Amino acid sequence: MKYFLLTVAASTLVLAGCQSTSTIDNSAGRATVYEDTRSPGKVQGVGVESQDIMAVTDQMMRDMLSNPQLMNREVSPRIIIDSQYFTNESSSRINKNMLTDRLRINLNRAANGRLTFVGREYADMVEKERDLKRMGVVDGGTIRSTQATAGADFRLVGRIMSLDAMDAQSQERSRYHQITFELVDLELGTYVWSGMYEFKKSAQDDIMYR
Amino acid sequence: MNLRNLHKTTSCIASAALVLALAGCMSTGPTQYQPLALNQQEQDAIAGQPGYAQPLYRKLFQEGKRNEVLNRMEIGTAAFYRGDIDLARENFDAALEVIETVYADNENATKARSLWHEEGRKDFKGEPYERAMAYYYRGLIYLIDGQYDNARASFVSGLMQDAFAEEEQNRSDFAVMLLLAGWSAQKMGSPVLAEEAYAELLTLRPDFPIPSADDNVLIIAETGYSPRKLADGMGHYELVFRPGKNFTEKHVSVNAGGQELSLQPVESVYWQATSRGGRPVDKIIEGKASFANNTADFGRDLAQLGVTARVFSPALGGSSGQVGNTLALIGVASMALSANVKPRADIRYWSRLPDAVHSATMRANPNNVSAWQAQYSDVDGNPVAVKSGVFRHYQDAKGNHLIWHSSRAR
Repeated sequence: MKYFLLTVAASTLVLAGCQSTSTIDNSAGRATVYEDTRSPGKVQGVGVESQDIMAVTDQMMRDMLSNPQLMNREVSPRIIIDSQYFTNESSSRINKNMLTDRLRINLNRAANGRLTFVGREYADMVEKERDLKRMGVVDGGTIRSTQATAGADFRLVGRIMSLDAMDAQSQERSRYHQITFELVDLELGTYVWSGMYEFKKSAQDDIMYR
Repeated sequence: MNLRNLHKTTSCIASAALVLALAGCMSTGPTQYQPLALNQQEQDAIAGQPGYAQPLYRKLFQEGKRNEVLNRMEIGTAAFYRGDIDLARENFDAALEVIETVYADNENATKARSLWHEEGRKDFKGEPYERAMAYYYRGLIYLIDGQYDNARASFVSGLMQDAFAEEEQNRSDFAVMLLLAGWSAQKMGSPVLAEEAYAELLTLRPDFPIPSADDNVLIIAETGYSPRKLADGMGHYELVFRPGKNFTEKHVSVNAGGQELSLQPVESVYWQATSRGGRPVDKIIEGKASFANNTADFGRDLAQLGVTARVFSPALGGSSGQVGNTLALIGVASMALSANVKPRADIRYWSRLPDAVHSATMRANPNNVSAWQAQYSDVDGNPVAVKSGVFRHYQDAKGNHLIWHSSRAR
């Protein structure tokens, strides 16, 4: 009898072990969730991510707002902050406007009129409207008319740079980012303010991908 | 029939049934994955694509996350070949998003490491040469868009995918990435970065003509078909690469409206596929194959011993027959265990890649590029009778030109 039971038990165990589940993916999906943009999300790499963009622009904004050369002027200085002279020399692909737009918008809100931002990116649009006004195609608007559009006192320049390192044995990789921001005096060509943000990330893929 | 004979008969029937059942559940061939059912939203999305992309999008949705990167790469290349840059951009961005994600704790990767699942169970991210080529195409699109700094970032990232080759001299030797990183740096106004890239390029291709500072036309030509991945060895555990088939062109020259341009071969994609050397995962797969072989040998020996004991049981007497049955059963179970180990290597590959990339730069104002004609020759310089492939001409907002050519449909 015991051989019979042994046979049945072995049969059950082996057959249970040999059943395959690989043909069916029955895993449930995951409902959309809002993630904290200041925290590393579920999907991460070693490049520039949302939390980095927020941290770097917040720090630069605080730094600029505490700079007396910028903030203690009798007449609020005119500044161009866009990505025209902000270059990416790193190995991370990034839309630079995410950095410069966030910086400009938050500065504009926090400065409360103590800094004036010039939208040079949209100069063509402004010129077209001015032409229409001057030609009488449209009226003069309700605010004022000026001889020319605003000239700027300072302009943002900067660079995103990176240094990659890899361990050929463990295949761990790390990327150090250095992001520099500077304001250049558009008459003298001097730097009136400089700021820098650095961070380094390292990661190692699952061995199946190394 | 007495009770002893009844037990014996039952045991024999159970053993036979088990052997049959186990034989039935032994897997042969690669694991087949059921296509996922498409919902209405996905069907609408497919219908909204251009005709050439519809079957590719259907495959993308049917094969799900596991093959998403592969299918995105295929769609991206097909779109790029047809000059559908928006679709190509969208798909390469989606593919690179996954490639750049670090898979540190991924369920499918964990399963793919186990004995009972093939390597192909994992989500596809491609071998380093495939990941590098995804960056190559995305970089070209950035050049078309006039975003030179992101183009350079793409080419440098592509170069880094090749940093883990087994042999040191083959690490980061993707010459086309260096050429294009240098070109991008030149165009973004960083001559120092350009010089660095070109200096490195010359260590790999000493005769390659470095672009002049005032060159404004970059010509990229792709020839041949993608390297193939095959699974070799016992249990198909060994990943091997073979060159693409059905083409012989190795060199290309271009008749550009009367001017003869000879393009320099700058990269062999097949070489990049093969020069990686062994992968860390190969040891795991080899271990699976070794386990499968050992358990199969052990099971076979045990089963033979059991049969022998059963045959000689009348002479030996006692319970030797039942011991024989049990040994045979354990042997068969061990063989079944072996048969369910899945050591097969992952042979999914990006089929629309070229075999080689050629390039030239110049100062010119090219026009009527669609009328350009390419001539091809084989490895010995003999002409290859293949009709000239397509030329695509792009000029960015800053006046720089990218002319892309492919000898074959992609």
